[in-house]
Amino acid sequence: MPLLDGAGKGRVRPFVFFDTPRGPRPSHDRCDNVVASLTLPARSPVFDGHYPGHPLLPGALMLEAALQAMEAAGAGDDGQTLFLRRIDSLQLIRSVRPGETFTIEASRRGEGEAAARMSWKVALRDAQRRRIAAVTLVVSAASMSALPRATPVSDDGLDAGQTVLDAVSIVGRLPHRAPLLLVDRAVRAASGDFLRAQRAIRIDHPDLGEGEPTSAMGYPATLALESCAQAAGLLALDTWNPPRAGMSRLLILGGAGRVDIHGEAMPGEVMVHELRVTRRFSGAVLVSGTTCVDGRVLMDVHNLLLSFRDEANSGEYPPCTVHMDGMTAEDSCSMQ
Amino acid sequence: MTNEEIQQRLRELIAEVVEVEPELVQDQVNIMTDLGADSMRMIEILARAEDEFGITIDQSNLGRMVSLDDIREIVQDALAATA
Repeated sequence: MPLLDGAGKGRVRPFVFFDTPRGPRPSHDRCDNVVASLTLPARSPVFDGHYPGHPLLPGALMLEAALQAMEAAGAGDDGQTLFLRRIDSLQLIRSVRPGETFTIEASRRGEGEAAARMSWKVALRDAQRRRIAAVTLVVSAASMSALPRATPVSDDGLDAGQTVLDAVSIVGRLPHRAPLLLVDRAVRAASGDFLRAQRAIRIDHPDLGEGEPTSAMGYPATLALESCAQAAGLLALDTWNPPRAGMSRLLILGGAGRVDIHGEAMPGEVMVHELRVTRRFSGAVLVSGTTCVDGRVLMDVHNLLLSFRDEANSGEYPPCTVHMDGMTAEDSCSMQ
Repeated sequence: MTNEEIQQRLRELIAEVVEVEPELVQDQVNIMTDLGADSMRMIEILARAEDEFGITIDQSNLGRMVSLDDIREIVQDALAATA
């Protein structure tokens, strides 16, 4: 039986959570269910930046871990790389901490509406089977070509009273740090309800932690979503008061109504997020908008739910040994 | 759309958000205390109901959204305002 060795070769995989499978798997069986267990390493570049002193796995990287688990299990027919094309609903219910073990359960819901697209329902659960996250997503094995932009970049919402947020202002407002601070600069309208933010993509992919650039150089959709959510976070607070002494302010992505991914940014390009607050609640916002590069639309986001939470500083998190569990995907893949 | 249709679509929507069987979303059950939703999930229910019915719900209604019956009333008001 041939070893499955094609998984993950066709796209950039940030923060490798799952390696290629460790065993033979018949190439003809179609995988409709994936169950994988993952123990987060206590020391990971992810936690250096998200967040210093408050290590939490970002929601976008929960999605990345799920995609990698599906790829490693051969969920793409013939073991192909999976590209995230759409999120139909995303719920991020609680956070995951270093050293914590969680389970990824993915099941195929049927074919997507276009050829070579597959719809999957994915749940992440903790050791007590409580929900961490639930997402319905569409993936495809084909790489993507971004949509041409129908309308030119507008200055809608920006005016003389706009605020320019440079790197220093952004570091002052967002708790994220390298390698997971994914906004370089932003301009916010005087109303506080519209923002244009940018992120330059570099060929050496400093955002990818221990990930290795491969022959494919497209910026991963999961990180593009994280960048977009961070930009949306700059809209979440209408007035900025620093947290009280001894407290840290964390930005929490609670979910998304729908995300359409049309393409990937390439090194040398600058992603531009244009985002608008669609609803402001006390302590939370719903934000919708578009991410573009140079005349192409990469992503449309609808109802990203963000909130800031102030938490007491927990100090240094306890070290423990790096450990990743084996997968049980082979046991749960159904034979066709 | 009849009241029953609205009620049933909302029941399924709430059941999906809080991940319980639709039968458990009874008309007067408290979605936060009995079904375990937090404030983020209540915002999600509001946003999904807007998309589902093509309406706008004022966020001041969030505090009134306790049970399925409450949400159905809010949706009916919003539908009436749109009509």
